[in-house]
Amino acid sequence: MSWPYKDLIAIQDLKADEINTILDMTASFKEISRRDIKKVPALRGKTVVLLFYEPSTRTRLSFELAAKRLSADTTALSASGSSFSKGETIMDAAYNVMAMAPDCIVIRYPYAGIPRKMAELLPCSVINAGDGYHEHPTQALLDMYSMKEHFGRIEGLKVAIVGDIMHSRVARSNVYGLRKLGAQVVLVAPKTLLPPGIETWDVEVSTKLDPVLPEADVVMMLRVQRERLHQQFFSGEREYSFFYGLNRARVEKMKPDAVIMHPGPMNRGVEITHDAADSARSIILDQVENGVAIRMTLLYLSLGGSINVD
Amino acid sequence: MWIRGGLIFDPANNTEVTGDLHIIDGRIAGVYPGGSPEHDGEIIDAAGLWVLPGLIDLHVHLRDPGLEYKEDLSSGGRAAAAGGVTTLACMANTDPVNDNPSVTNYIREKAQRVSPVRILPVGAVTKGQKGKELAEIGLMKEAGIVAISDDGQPIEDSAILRRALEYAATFGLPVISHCQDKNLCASGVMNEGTLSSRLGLPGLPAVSEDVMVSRDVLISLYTGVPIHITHVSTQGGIEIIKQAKAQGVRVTCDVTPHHLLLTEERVRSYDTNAKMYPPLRGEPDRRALIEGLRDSVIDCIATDHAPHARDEKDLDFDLAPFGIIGLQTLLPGIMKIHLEQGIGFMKLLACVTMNPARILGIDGGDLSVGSRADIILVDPRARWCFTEEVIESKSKNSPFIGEEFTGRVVRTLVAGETVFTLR
Amino acid sequence: MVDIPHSSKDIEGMLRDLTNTLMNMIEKWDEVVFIGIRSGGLLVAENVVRLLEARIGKHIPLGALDIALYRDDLSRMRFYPEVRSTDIPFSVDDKAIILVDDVLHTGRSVRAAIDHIVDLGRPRRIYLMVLFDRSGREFPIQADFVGKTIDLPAEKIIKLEASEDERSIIDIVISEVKR
Repeated sequence: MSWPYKDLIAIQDLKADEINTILDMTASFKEISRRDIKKVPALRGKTVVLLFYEPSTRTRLSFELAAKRLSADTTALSASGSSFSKGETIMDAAYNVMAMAPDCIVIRYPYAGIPRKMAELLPCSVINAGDGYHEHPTQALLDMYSMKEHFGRIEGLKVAIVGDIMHSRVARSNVYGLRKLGAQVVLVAPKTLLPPGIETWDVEVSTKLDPVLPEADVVMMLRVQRERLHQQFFSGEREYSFFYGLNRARVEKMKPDAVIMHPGPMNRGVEITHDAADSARSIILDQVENGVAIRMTLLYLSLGGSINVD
Repeated sequence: MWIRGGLIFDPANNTEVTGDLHIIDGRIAGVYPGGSPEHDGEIIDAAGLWVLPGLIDLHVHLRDPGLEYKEDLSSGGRAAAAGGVTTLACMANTDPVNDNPSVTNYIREKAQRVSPVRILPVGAVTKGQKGKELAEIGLMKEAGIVAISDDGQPIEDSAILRRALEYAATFGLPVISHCQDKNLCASGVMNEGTLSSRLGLPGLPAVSEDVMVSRDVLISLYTGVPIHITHVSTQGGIEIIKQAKAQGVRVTCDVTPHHLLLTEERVRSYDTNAKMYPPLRGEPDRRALIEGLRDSVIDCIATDHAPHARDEKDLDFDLAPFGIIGLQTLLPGIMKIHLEQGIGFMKLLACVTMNPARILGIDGGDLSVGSRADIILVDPRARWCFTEEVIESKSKNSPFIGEEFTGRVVRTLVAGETVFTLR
Repeated sequence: MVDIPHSSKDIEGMLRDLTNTLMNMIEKWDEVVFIGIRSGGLLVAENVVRLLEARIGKHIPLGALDIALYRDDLSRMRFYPEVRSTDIPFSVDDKAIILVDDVLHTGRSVRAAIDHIVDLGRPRRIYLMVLFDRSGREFPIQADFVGKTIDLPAEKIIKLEASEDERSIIDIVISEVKR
């Protein structure tokens, strides 16, 4: 099957069978990371540039390892380590990078829309590694892969996503993907952290966590960002964790085979306690491992689709 | 001088006649329905054209002094002439702010020298538009301002607004208010709602406008001083103004052509030329504005012409400045509303001539004998495409680039002198 | 026309002949493992291993190799091939590997397979077994065990047709290369 896209910008753009194709291929790529020699020559001679305008260690590392395990050359530019922020517009920067002929640009950007614009204007592949409050498609795909790996299916699962939905691109991408694959989604947050227009999202919404726990197959905790506190979205970490934090008592209310997920990095003691994060139900480290495999799949698909024989 | 054989619209006298118009010494000397038997001097053939009073735009940013890379009094004046705008009021948010008579004088004097159209400065309400201390409103009036406004920097402190209204009334100046609760807006960049959540862009809720419209109306009612609400964009705002007018509050308001023609859907592609304050709203809001025009809740249509350089608009949607240019799309925009919504052209014409003249307390906007001969000729059937090439402004930030329009300004006269002719 | 078997019986005969050759050549079966290249080679390997196990009465390890990520023509293809799993449930270190493919033609697939295997470990040696050895070699590679040597024009391809349960080979099809 040929992959029809050179870019991956948003889960909103993908059809259910395309998401399934990605998930199905990922097992093959995951096996490579378990070998002694974790490298295949598939993308030999390809250059992948990682443009990170927002601090990120895990996503960047994950993309970098994924590219390297497929034998692509990688260079990472982060906003702090480059001159990009000095008066140069992001599109200037993009054209400059393009002039150096990369095959793929992986971009993390603090504001929505730029990856889409780059994908439209640049001939190379563009993969969105998170843009503002818009989307983080590779995270959602690795989350869905992890669920499918654990449960053998996505359809019919009930997934609770808990925390700052309003400012979360991870939550948005997961909602779009999970709904396409037939999972039920419950979003749990105080009203201040629920986005406007959520009633049109085709999900359940709850301002209380406790009633949701006994029904959910997956409990995905989102990171609480401390700056939201100063913007008056909630009154303090103590109160937040009392109502929305996942702790041992709440873990015990979960279904026997339910799992705990977190896109990281965790604020231990705020949205999740040690004993919840490290419990046997946690598949948080599987998510990290699967992140590399998902990104290998996406690099392979995106770069393969763009190559022209003639 | 004679303008012969055009269809002459005069909103002040509510007349629409085919005939000749006679100009002597920059003033209208006579209107001859059916044509005059004799003519002398220069004759302009207006057969098949509409003859209108020059348009008056009470909300324009010309960026001069201080930000001349975006626009200046000369380029802005040329854009106005090309758009058929013969009088405009320019906002005070220049650098330095027009909050003292020196800046007012600079604008007046330079405009007289370089601008083909009449440019009337608007003074700041507060020093530096900081919302703390009243500016030298009386002295600026002496220097020639026609209104006061902190447009762009809405006045947060209700006590300051109250004092400003009372103080402005002392000098007979209208107050133009930009209604926005800045705290409710925070870092918003587009209309708040389902679409903003989808696009991942922070929202500007309609309620942030509505609460300030209510406040302004109530303070106007309490002080008994009129207030003009500029660029109303919400259904709620229109409702409040409608009720206030019904109760006798002396409130007037304007809307922009872009809020009448476009909705937030234009933001889908993250086009920064669809980023303005107030933001493009939803279709129900747009419908409410059109109904507001129809039942005369809305007094004026003003452009909020806000030039920004290409490199500023080339930023991400979150970071790009708010605003679009509008002088050259005012008349075609009104024609589009006329044709698509079936609102009478005379009514729309009053919104850009007689009504703003009345609110600003200036002459112009009519074709009565003895009035200024600020006149435009419009080809009502011309179908044309608005392109970057026709833009006279220094900045090209318009969402209407590539848009097809019917109706085009072919000639503009200011005080009887031709300042623009369509090539 | 090229002389190739079409009936299940003839194909079965070829596989038996191959098995006999192996029985004669290999003395110690302890360290022998089979690796089939997906998908034709794997089918051949499964059939040969089944026959061998019946003969010697013990289990012979068999792995599947997917060489999509090792092909040398990726950068010349408009679309990359579908990737399936490499599934080798044993260590290849110090093993005698019998690498199995259905057809040996240019030698490029075998080159990719050898590269892939050495990324997995260090075998003692690798034998190559193929059902058909046809002309048109582009790399210096030859097979150790061959079912049948045939001569075919370059524009022809040979393909095995599997039974519905994907266990046995029911026909050998020769067709034109798709343009």
